[in-house]
Amino acid sequence: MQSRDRFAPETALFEAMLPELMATNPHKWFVAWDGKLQAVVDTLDDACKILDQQPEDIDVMVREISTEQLRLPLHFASAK
Amino acid sequence: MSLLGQFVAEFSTPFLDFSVSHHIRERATIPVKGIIDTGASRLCIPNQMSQQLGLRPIRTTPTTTASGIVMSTIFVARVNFPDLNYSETIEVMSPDTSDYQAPILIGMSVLRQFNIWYHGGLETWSFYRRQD
Repeated sequence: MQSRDRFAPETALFEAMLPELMATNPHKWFVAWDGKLQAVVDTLDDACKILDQQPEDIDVMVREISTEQLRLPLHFASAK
Repeated sequence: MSLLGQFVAEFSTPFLDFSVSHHIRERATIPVKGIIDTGASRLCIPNQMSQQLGLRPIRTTPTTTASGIVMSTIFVARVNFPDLNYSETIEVMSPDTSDYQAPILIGMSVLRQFNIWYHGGLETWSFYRRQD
């Protein structure tokens, strides 16, 4: 069973950096561990190469910057 | 070539055969059957299967299911759909509950790679590789 909060520091980091990340790196992948942004890469495969270099017991968070964030705000975009 | 793209395959059922593997150790592979689900954002497999394959978790997320909101873990996995000639490393999702009994769902993270034509009269599903 996965702990529900094992990625909490990285998730909080992602949320905090999201405005800047979306402005400068849309459609890229965010890689973080130990509460620090470690890399921004172009594809999930690129993120996996970094992931695979880390020990299995380190929680590495990988998340696409645009997936949920850019799809939803269509109405907001058109309202501007 | 049609307006939908390059024809790939036609199915008489929404259930597709494919395999799920560890993204590196492809010897750890499980053949499965999943159902096309345009309401699912990702490919969804039981947690026990993710554990069995030793998939690497990359984050957690709250997920809305038919039985309410549950926490799910996102893993990275290799999937291979031989009939669709599609093999890719993608995110897969597993609800963090051992009593999740829903079928394996083939969600939009896979389906968006294709244009899909459902023929209501014949009850067939035709897959076309997107050209855009």
